[in-house]
Amino acid sequence: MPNPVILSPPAPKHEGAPLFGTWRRAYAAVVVAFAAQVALLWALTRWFS
Amino acid sequence: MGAYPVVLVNALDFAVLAATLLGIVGYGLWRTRRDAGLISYLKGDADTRALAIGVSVMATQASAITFLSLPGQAYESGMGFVQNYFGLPFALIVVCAVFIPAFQRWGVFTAYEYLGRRFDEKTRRLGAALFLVQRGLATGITLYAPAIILSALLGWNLSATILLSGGLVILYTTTGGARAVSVTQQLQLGVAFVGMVAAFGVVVASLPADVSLGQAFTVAGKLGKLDAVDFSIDPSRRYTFWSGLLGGFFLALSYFGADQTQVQRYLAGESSTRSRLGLLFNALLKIPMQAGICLVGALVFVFYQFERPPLSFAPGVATSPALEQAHSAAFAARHDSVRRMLGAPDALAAAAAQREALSADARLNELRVQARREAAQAGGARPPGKDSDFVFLTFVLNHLPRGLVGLVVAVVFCAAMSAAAAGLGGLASTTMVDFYRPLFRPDADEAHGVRASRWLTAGWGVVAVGFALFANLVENLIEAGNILGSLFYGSVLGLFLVAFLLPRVRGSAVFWAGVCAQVLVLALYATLSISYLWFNVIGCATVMLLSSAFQATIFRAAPAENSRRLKRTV
Repeated sequence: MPNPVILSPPAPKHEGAPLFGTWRRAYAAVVVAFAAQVALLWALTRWFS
Repeated sequence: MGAYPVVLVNALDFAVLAATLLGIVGYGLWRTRRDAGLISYLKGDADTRALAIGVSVMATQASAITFLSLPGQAYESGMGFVQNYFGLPFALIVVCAVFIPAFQRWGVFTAYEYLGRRFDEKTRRLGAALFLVQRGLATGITLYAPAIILSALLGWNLSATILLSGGLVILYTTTGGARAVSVTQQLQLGVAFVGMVAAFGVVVASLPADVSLGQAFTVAGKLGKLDAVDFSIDPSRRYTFWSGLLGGFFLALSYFGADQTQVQRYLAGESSTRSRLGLLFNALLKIPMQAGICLVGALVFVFYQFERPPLSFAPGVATSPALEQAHSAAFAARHDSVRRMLGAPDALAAAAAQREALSADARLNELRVQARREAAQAGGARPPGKDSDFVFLTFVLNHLPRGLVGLVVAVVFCAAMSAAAAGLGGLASTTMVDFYRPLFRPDADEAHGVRASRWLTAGWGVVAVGFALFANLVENLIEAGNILGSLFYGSVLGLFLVAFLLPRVRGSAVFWAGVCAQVLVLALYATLSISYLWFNVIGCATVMLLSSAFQATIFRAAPAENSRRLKRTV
């Protein structure tokens, strides 16, 4: 029998579709930021070596 | 000059250190002075904002070893280590897209509670038990590792240092639970940021007046310390873009998806939106943060081109006059080459000076290794940790102005405390939710739940401090935690990936696959000498393959039984 305190917290809101859904743009932004960060680090590597 | 003498921090440093630590602990106690109930104690406040979740996640991952070892790593081997974090943003996207919706949909308190819903109770307990063993030991290392470096350099008593940081963590974590962990981590990460920026400023200001920041970068780059990205596919290279992307992805997915220490951080807050934003905050900032810490180490390396470094950064390494003389000569040769490189009239002369500087630098590294070897052969006390672990703090103690030294020591304490506090929170919530409550007191009221959770938090604190006090740990501190994690993470991640990716597999099949995988990993660790990173892959792959095989053979009849259980749950 589920415990009323432990297993029944206030129902969380679940937004978006199951996988990428409405967050697709946010995830894409993270990937773009990652690419920019790697490009910057690569430029640092090449420029001063 | 074998090593710098033990430096005693002065009254101003002590005042800054004490004010910072006591201020943060006091703030944590004050903010959580009202009893907010069991849900708040185990998960944090429902109105925890996305930024607070993001900071908490970042502070949990950034232990004291991050601030001590990472600059030393860059000093010794350059910035290539930062590539280990290249898989992290992608792992966090997967956690946001797959793990968070599953956890939030079921309203779980621990990641392993989800395994109970998806499979059965024995699989839930297996995941929870593997986490408790691994994290219980790792939290001890979190307290031990910085304490041994601080005590060696500052001459403090090791046990007292562990008891101080461990005692403070137990105090506010036991009192305030997940809420206290979250509110103190915000201040602790703030202190760490200010301390590292100040250290960066002091390194730059300590360079010779005729060396500009651009020239400092040139020196670091020409001597290989700014090589941050390596696209080579040569498997013998330690850090490359590809190994960081794949290995880092796997490690980060295990850590953020299956380790309750992190799951508890991002399950605070009332919606998956906040959890996701908190994690994406880390996906954006983790690489710049690690690169910034590495850059401080690279600039400390440049600083020691113009001032002779100690032969050994670790204290207590006795050196012979002959070694000292050779070290002095090698330093002079490197210093001259660097000066000639900066003032070279053409590219050809600069390249010649660069080659000479690299050769002298290699000689200096050989001498450091030799000094350590000779000290060990002479029967002297074995210095704790790697020599590079002492580089940053040695620089801080000898070259930062008074007051700032206290602040940087506070950074180390804060980082140790924030990681240890999150560890205790994760351990206590898992013990409470996955073991104590369902097995011993399923009908206990809320007041009993809070009281028991406090005892569990304090109990795990005592275990962690006890382990730190009595453990005689391995030489490489940063590796110890990673090895420990790799031995258990693979199997636990395997349980979750089966849950998400293999819908036909049921509880008994995945449980026995998990047990077999864990036994296999421990057996391989005892018998084979392969890189510990492979154990993550072996553990996870074994769970996935064996669970499919078991489901298709031994447990073929189970789906019907399980679908009845699922119908009941839904």
